[in-house]
Parts: sequence; C-alpha cells; structure tokens
Amino acid sequence: MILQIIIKELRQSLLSLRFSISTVLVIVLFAGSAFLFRGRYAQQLEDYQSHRLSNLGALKAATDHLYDLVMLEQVEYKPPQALTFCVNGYEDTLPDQFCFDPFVLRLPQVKTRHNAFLPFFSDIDWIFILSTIVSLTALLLSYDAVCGEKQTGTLGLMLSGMIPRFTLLMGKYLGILLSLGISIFAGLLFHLLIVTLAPTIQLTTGQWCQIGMVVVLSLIYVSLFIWLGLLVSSRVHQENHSMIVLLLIWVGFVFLVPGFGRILSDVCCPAPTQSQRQRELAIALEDVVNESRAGTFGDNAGSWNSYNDNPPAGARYYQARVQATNHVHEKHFNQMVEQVSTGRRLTAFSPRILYQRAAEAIAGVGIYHVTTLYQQIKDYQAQWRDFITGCDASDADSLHLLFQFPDPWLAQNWKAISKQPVDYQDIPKFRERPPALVQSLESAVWDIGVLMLFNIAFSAAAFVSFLKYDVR
Amino acid sequence: MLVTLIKKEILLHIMTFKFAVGTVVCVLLTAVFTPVLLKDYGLRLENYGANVAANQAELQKVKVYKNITPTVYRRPSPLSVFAEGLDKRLSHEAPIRFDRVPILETELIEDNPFLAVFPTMDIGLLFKIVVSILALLVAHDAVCGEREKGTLMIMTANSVPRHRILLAKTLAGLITVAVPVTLAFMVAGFWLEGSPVIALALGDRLRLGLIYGTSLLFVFVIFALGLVTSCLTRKSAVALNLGLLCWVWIVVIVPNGAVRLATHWRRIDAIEQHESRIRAIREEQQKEDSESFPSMIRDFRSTVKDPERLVVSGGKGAFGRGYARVVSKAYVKERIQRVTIDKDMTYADKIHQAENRMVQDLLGQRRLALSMARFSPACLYGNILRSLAGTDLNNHQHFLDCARIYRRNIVDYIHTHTKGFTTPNLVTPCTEQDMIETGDCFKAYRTQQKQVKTQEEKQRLREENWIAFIESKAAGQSPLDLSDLPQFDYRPSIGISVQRVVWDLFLMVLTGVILWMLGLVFFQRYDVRMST
Repeated sequence: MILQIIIKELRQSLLSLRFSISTVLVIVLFAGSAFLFRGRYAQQLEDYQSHRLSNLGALKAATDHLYDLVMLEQVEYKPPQALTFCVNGYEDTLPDQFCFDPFVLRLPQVKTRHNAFLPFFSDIDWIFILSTIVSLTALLLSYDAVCGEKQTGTLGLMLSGMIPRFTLLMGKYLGILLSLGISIFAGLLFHLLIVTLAPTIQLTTGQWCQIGMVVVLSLIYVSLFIWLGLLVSSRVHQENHSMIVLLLIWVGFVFLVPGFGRILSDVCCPAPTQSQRQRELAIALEDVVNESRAGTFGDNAGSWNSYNDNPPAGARYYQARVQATNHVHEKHFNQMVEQVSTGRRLTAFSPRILYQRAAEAIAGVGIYHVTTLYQQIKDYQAQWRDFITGCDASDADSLHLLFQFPDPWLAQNWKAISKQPVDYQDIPKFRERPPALVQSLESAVWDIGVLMLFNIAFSAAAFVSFLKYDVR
Repeated sequence: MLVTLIKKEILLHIMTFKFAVGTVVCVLLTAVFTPVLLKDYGLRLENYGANVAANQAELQKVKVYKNITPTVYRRPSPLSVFAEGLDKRLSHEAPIRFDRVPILETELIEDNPFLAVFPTMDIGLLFKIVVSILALLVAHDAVCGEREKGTLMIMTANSVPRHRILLAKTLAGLITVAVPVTLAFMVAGFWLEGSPVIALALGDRLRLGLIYGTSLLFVFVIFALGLVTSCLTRKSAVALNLGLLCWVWIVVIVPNGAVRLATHWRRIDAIEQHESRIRAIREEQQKEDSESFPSMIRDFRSTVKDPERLVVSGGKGAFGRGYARVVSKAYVKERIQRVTIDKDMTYADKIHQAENRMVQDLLGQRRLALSMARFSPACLYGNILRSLAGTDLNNHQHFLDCARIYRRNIVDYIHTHTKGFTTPNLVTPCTEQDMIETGDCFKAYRTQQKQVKTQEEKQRLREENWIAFIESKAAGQSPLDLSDLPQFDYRPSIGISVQRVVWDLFLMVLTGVILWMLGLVFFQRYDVRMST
C-alpha cells in the first residue's frame, strides 16, 4: 500500500508546474555554476603555482648562508580546493596569504585577486542551490500534502480505506523525497559531468567520498524541510495558511537568522580592532624591554652592542620578543576565529547554518580550511627551526644561538648562527596535508547530528499532528 | 465605482491571516534590528569623533610647516542602518601627505576578515525579503483567487471595465502593503529620533522620505509581478508557486549570479602586477635620490672640517614626524634643500596613476556586476537605498575627490607661508637669533670638550652645557599659528545622491509599469468563469 501512495505522490509532484519549473531552475543553476567553476579554478591553480614557484625561488636564493635562511620570510598561499564546486565556503573572501619566518607567523591576509568593491554575494554552489531553491521546492511540494487533500476531499476518502495514518504520511514523505531526489540528482549529474571533464580537475577517491557525504548531508537537509512542510500542513486546515507559516519559517531559517549572525558576533564576542592589536603588541614588546632592563636575560641583553658584550643574553632577549609577538598574534587569530564561531553557534538553530558548517567541514573548505592550514604552517615552522638547528650544529665556529635577527647586518656579523651554505634539496618545503576523511567527518558530526535531530523532531511532531488531524 | 472596489479589496486584505502575520513580523523585526544596528553605528561614530579630536590636537602641536600632514575623516552615515553598503568595508579616512594622493583603498578595513562569511544585515534587507514576500502573498490571489471563489464573474458581469477592476486591486493591494511598510518606517524613525547618537539633519530626513518612497515603489513592482502570475493562472496555489519562484530568481539568484558572472567575464589582474608597477616607480624615485646622495657624501666629508654644518638636535613633533629643535644656520640651508616636496608630489602623482589603474580594474568588474544585476528590481532597490543612505561607492569617491582638493590647498598654503619651500620655518621653529646662538653655544661646547680628559666629565659637560641649551630653546618654541589653515570641506549633497539614482528609479518604474501592463493584457483575456 505504501508503494502505491509513493507512486501517487510521485506522479502528482512530477506532473505539477512547480516541480517542473524548480527542476529546470535547479538544473540550469547546477550547469551554470559548473562552467563558472571550471574557469575560476583554472585561474586559481595558475596563480597558486606561480606563487609557490616564487616562494621556492626565494628559498633557493637563501641557501648561500644558513643565516639567510633564518632571515627569510616565506609567503604561502592557500591552495585552491577542488571541492569548492560543491561547497565554496567563501574561500575567495577569506584570508589566503600566510607570511612567516622560522619564528613569527603573522596574521593571515586576503591577497589574491580579490575585489573589495563588489557587493556581498554567495557563490552559486551546491549549498546555495540546495539550501535556497530546493528547500523552497520541498516546502512547495509538501505544504498542501495534508490540508490541501483535506480541502479537495480526497484525504477522508483515502483514510476511509483503512490505510494507517502512519503509512499515509510516510508515503507522502517518501514520494516528495523521491521527486526532489530526481531533480537533485539530475542537477548533480550535469554538474559533475561538466566539472570532471575539465582537464585541470582530477578528483581522488577520497574526494569522491567527500562528495558522497555532502550529497547525503544535502538529502538530510532537504528531508528536514519536507517534514516541516508536512508538520505545518497537518496543523492547519487551509493551504494558504500553511503556505504563509512555512514561508515565514523558510525566510527566517534561510535569510534572517544567518544574517543576524554578524550582529550577534559583534555584540557577544567582539574581536580587537587593528589599532587595539597594534597597541597590545607594543605593550607586550615594551614588557620585554622592561624585563631586559631589569636584567632578566643577562647583562646588556637589549643593547645594540650585545653581540660583543653578551651574545647569549642578546639571543635570549630576541627570543623573548619573538615569543611575545607570537603569543599576541596567535591570541588575535583565535579571537577572530572565535568571533565568527560564536556568531555561527548562536545562529545554529537555523538548519542552513548547520548545513553550511557541516558541508564546509566535510569538504575541508572555508574557515575550517584556514584554521587547519594555520596549524600546519606552525608545525612546519617547528620543522624548519629543527632543520636550521641541525645544520648549525655541525659548524664549530658558530655560537649556536638561534633567534630572529633584527637586522641583516647583525646576522652577517654575529657568529650566532652558521655562515655555511645549505643544500636546497635538504630544506623542508611546506606542503598542505588535506585532512583525513575521518577527521572531516568528526568535525561535522555535531552539525549532522543536530540536523538529524531536527528531522526526528519534525517527523515525530508531524506524525502526532496527523494522528489527531480532523480529516472531515 | 473605483472607490467602492478599492474599499472592498482593502477590507478583504486586512482581515486575512497573511496581512496580520506579515505586519506583525515586519514591525517586530524592525523594532528588534534597529536598536542593534544603531548601537553598532554609535560605536563607529564614537571612533570618528575620537579620530577627529586626535587630529585637531595634533594640529595644535605643529611647529614646522613640513609637519602639516593631517588626516581627514568621513563621518559614518546615520542612514547606514537602512543600507550598510560599503560603509563598514572601506576606509573612512584619507591621510594628507605630500608623497601620496588619497585614493580608494583596494583592501578591506575589516578588523576581522573572517566575518566575510556573514551577509550584511540592515533594514533594507528586511524590506527586500519580508515586505516583498508580503506583497506577493497579497497579489497572488487577487485575480485567480476571486475566480476560485466565484466573485470575479459577478464583478465583471456588472459592466465594470476590467482595467478599472485591476487598477482598484492594485491600489488596494498597495495601500494594504503600505501599512506594514509605514509602521516599520515609523518604528525605525522612532528609534532614530530617540537615539542620543544620531542627530538627523533636514537632508537626512529628506533622504529618509525618499527611501520610504522607493520602498513603496519596490512594493509596487513586486505586487505587479504577483498580479501577472495571478492573471496567468487559474489556481491561486499555482500563482503563488510561480510567484515565489520568480521572487527567488530576482531576490536571490540574480544578485548573487550577476556578481559571480562578472568575476568570470571580467577578470582582474593579479595584485602583484600592480604592485610591481608601483615598486618600479618607487625604485625610480630612490635611484634619483641616491644619485644626489654622492654629493651629500662629499659634503659630509667636508663637514668634518666644519662641524657647525652638522649642528642639529631633532625631536618628535606633530603626527609623529620629526623636526629640528635647534639648528645652525649652515645646517638649515642644507636641510631645506633636502626637503623635496615638489619631487614627492610628482612621484605621488605617478604612483597615483599606477594605483588608479588597479582601482579602475576593480571598478570595471564592479560596474559589470551592477549592470547585470539591474535586471532584478531587488538590486535596483538596493542600489537606490545605498545611494540615498550615502553608503555607496560614489559617495566615498566624492569624499576622496574633496580630500584631493584639500591636499592641494594644504600644499599651496605651505608654499605660500614658506616662500616656495625656502624659509627655515619649513623644517625648524628656530629664529635667526636662535641659530646664531646655537652655533656659538656649540663652538664653546666643543672647545670645552677638548680640554676635558675623563668620560664622566665629558658627559657632565654635555648635559650641563649642550643638552640644557637645547631643552631651554625647545621649551620656548611655540606651535605655529594655523588659524588661516584651509578647512576640509565635505558635505554629502542630497541633490547629487538623487541625480545618481535617477536611472535606477526610472528602471524600477519602467519594470513596474511593464509588469502591470502585462497583467492587464492577461486579465483582458482572462476567463472569469469558475471551472465546473
């Protein structure tokens, strides 16, 4: 019996104008976004290769002396992610340039082909299409599933045939889900076909698994709206009332609540302004100077002539400066990320935010990508320092004092670090390590869980409402 | 008859669930959002006030003309609660420097770049989404809904012209939706007037009025769209579905898609290309400076024989820039030659041209995005709102134009007061008498130093004779009288704002009229009979 209900719902949906129009719209958007992605990704890849070569060139040029390597500031850029076609995660507008030397990692900046004069926009990726168009279509297909049939009189007839209400509702849900599934999969198929035919895009097995996970997540998200539609439909007796309530909820979930995130993050968790950051850094460095004057690092630690007077004291002084700088930078980075996380957390009752966050974590893009890269660069810095220490240990002339030289002249004239040349092949080079699939899933498990909870709650409420529904 | 029809339609609309819900939601959201947006505005205004005060304080401390390098600030717009635009993303300051022409900064001033994941939230967004959906809900069953009930057939049987019926429905629908719009504006206006941080001038009130009018125009366009769908279909459910999909297209897809298409069709150059051009100009300037440096080295060697040419004691002056506290006549003559304001301005113009290429590159992409987005009435509405609120790019560019004129005025002022950058007051507050005394004091100090043997005695001599002389001279130096300094003149003009929005307003009116005419054409051919 349930199969017959499903087929009936499916036929009804497929033959409706709303479904046809929304399917065409979805397919056109999927296809269009695929073409746009191909061009953009090729450009991003080219830019990234050029930056990487430039950075490696700078590394090669610094092999004449070990101290050149100590003085070198590397510039790494965020590699373009192939999966941004399904989840863009605002990759184009988030910081993408990391400047660091062996000691200090600066705050990341937004540097590549970015136009600050463009109005705010969401990229037309899978998340955008599914969270706006498909969720609306889900509501349009389900808003009159119960109350509409009541108005036409067919609901009473169906239930008089001894069909359990549970079966009827389940049949309606599955029918609508299948219809939406057809338009979603048609769109995805077009999209993946266009994307995978591009020569610059080669998807690995792991990435295909991530795509699969995003598809499953998308179905969970869409299912939530179907249950929501069925719930409201079985609470009211007129379809226009159902539509109004559902539209209100949809607008709130998809537009208003996410928009409120910015205001909440500013009010509840303000991050320091640029001038406050500079002030904090100046205070931290001033404290180091005061400690030096108090003799904490040794005699004449902070003096210009300390390389003659007391090199180890000078080294301790500069190391303290580096520690203070890194502490401040890291604190500010964490505060910035925390501000955004707070805004998203406070708006996490919007399924769209949960869906966006989970998809970004699975695909390894967005804020998740930046924070992971930041951590990996910190690990690489430690590796770089270890390499320098190792090379320096073999030079008997060196005082083996590794610290951030304030001036190239000092680096050349102090014996603090070796002046021997370095083999370029031996130098560790930074390479981003994409997160493991399990790790990605772990990051998204909370959001997926809440989305499932929404599904369960709405479905339970829909069943209870329908059980008590007056079908006359 | 028209009035009767309008009355009937209004009564039908206001006694519906959708009107009640729509009005309550509109007013409630405005009441909740406006104070939060005002608080944010208050913080920005406080920041602006502090910056202006600090700048004025620094100007009071200026002792030499070359240090007149103020920064001009743009007040945040009080109507930015209606349309945030680029108000929080672009710099509100323009430093006045000889070596730099004020130009649009191509980097965001956001304190936290991660906040780019959140959309901008303002009252305009509320109207774009909530009010437009309400207009659609009111319009979608204006024709087909009446047909379903059977009253349309009865109405048209009374030899009422169809165009009059449609006109009555339109006017009634607009009056209905105008109620929540007006209430929302009243609530926002109440918060604005009651806020201690905002003082609305007459110009601001006029702008507010124009924003209100534009909002009603936007409502008319969406209403006309709903009317078209209603006249195309026989069932109100189908009309609503069609209307919603059209709404999604114009409010969601076109604004986002236009920007993405523009970034695809009109790619911008990598920032490194622009930076390399600017770097080349700076290197050219440094090369020119270093070519004159050897002459300074030769001169330096000769000053060893004549130490008075090196007599100078520097200090930190206004705006963190140094100046010569005490100085000998011989040094001043040389120092003034090294102040190359004219050359700095020439290279500043070259750098400005190179930076301008970068800015035009970005603006070109933006223009394409906005042109494509004009197919959406929601984008037109957004453009008009931003222009009227004073938060669009054009307003910012006007501010920078005024800053560039002010820079020119400052340079002319310094040129006049230093007789073409030649008088000592360009670099030092010392008078002629001070310079002679400095030279004499220094000679006496050098003579005494040669007679002293120990380091401690040399240090004591330095502090008691030379340092004490410098401090006493510096204490007696008063800041410049800048009462005749040109004032920065920037006043956002409502006339200019209105001029800029004329085209968008025209397009919106045209869209509304075309949609309404389409609705009329479909209604003329509409089968009013109920289906059996």
